[in-house]
Amino acid sequence: MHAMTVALVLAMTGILLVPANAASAESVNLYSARKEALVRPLLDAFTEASGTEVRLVTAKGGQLHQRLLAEGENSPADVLLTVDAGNLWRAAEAGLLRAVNSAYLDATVPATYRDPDGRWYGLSLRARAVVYATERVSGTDLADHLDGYLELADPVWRGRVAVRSSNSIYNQSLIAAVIANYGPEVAERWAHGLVENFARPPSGGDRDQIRAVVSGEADLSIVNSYYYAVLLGSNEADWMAGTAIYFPADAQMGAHVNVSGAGVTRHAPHPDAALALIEFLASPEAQSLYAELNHEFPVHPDVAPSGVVAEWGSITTDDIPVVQFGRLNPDAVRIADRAGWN
Amino acid sequence: MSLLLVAPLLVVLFGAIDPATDLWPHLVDTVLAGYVVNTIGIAFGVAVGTAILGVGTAWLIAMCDFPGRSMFAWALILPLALPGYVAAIVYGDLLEFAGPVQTALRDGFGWGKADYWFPAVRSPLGAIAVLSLVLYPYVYLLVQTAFATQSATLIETGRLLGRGPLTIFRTLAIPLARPALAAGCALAVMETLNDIGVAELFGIGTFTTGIYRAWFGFGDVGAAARLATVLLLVVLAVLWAERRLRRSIRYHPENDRSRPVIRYALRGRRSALAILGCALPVGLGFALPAAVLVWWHVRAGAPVSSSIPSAWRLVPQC
Repeated sequence: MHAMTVALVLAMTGILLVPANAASAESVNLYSARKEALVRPLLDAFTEASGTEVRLVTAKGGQLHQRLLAEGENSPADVLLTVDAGNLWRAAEAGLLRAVNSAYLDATVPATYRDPDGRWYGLSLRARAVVYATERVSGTDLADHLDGYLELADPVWRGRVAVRSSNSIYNQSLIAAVIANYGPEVAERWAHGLVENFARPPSGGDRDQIRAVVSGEADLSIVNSYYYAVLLGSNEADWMAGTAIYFPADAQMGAHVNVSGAGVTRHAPHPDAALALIEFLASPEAQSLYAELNHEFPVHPDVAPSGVVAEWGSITTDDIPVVQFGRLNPDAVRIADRAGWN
Repeated sequence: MSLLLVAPLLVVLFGAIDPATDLWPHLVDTVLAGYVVNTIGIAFGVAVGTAILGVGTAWLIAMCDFPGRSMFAWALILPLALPGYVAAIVYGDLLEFAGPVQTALRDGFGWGKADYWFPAVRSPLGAIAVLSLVLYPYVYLLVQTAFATQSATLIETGRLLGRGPLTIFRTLAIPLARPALAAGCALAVMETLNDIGVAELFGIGTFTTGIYRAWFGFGDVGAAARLATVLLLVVLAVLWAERRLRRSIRYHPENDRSRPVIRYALRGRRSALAILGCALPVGLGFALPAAVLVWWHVRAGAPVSSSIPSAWRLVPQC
């Protein structure tokens, strides 16, 4: 892009303004794509343990990315916290994150769930699962027609599958994982078949897909596991009776697991405090909070998931490193466009 | 100052002349036609929808007398205060398959999924309806003023010459209010073209959602700028159409002898119809969505006093 264009974008968006107190000592500045309600308890625990204050900016992932790009070396941000390996990979590719050396993180976070170059680390795990109506999808239907994700394109599911738009990075990463496991041709055919099976044009978020199954508009939905767990743990649990969760797996590919994660920004004013924050988020104390707050799977191997999640039993997971979802993202989005998955 | 206004356009144009990546041909092959059809279709639908709602209510307020008229005169502006995406959340939730309306229909009549037809709310037609309901006040405000002041003398002359209300509406009021109508519709269409919330929530691919996807999804600012340039051409076409609608006739603003028009006094059934004609746009464009928001908030167990920020929490989360 022209330097002139960049300069104009910067001037226009007016985000060169940096908080005057951004450089004070006992604090760390966090840009978070996760909602404050999910992040704040973790940050409070960190402040209590370390004495370091955390200043929080929340926005959508893409907006934080553009903001970091525009702020450049003047950015007050120390840590970028976001969901989906695709977003973390993009931030690393754009040079927004720095490599860190942390024996603790390398020992705690499995290699599958972090950047090989140490620029970001997964901090919680979520599976993209199938929530289905037990009345309309029998055990034999499942056994005969749904092992792995590929079979979601089986004609037996014609007009029965609810899933959100491919604008969602969750779906882009799922397509990327299918590409990584089966190759681009199979992924392309799969996407076309899946679109044929849609119960309705994609709209709404993951919760809306579960609603579609409960109401009878669809028989299967593709959603992140914690949405289902959160609903089960809420006062809407009765309303959810008649649904169950299934984690697709065949010989080639287990359940598609993605991360939420964080990295230290390239121009972090407080890199040490930033790393301390990320290490804290991977500690058993914070990992338990993650598990309870939003029913995600802990990334720390020794921390137990929440009660609701534990009831699902052990899950066969895909072993493709999540960094691949980022690398294959452009291919995945194009496949979605060609398949007519809006 | 004018540089500040033009800067964003320059950025877009500079971005668009960057060498094309291979994303652009991909977009042209796959999604571009859909963006064009959806964007222009929704813009046209909103122009028609806001014209009908805006002119109809403007005529009632400016030319007729009925109980509640002075209250409706300002209440009809309220939908402008409701962001389109908030209305889209409310109506999407109420009218979708799993929503209370269709659920009640199925329970009431014992229908199953295949037994009945119900228009899909999360569709281009749904977007037209929602956007028309929150944007018609642009037309209403401008046309109402035009009816009430500019054309008062001429309209009364028409009346003195024995023309009925319908003839006056068709042959005098509408032609005289044409500039105001064109300006109001143009404003509504501009708002529609830059809408992202409604299109995103209803899962409709438009230029604006496409720009977002190219920029934040593909990280391709050049392709986003090219899409934006096409969108700018649509905007220019709208402005051109608006000007053209005003050309060829000269409109003389009234001189200082102008005064409010004498209104038709409506009675009985006619006045009830007039009240209904004003209450529906206010109710559907503002009162019902606002009431639903408050209801959701109470249902969630929170005090009503804190219900304003809750609208943000309704936006689909990560």
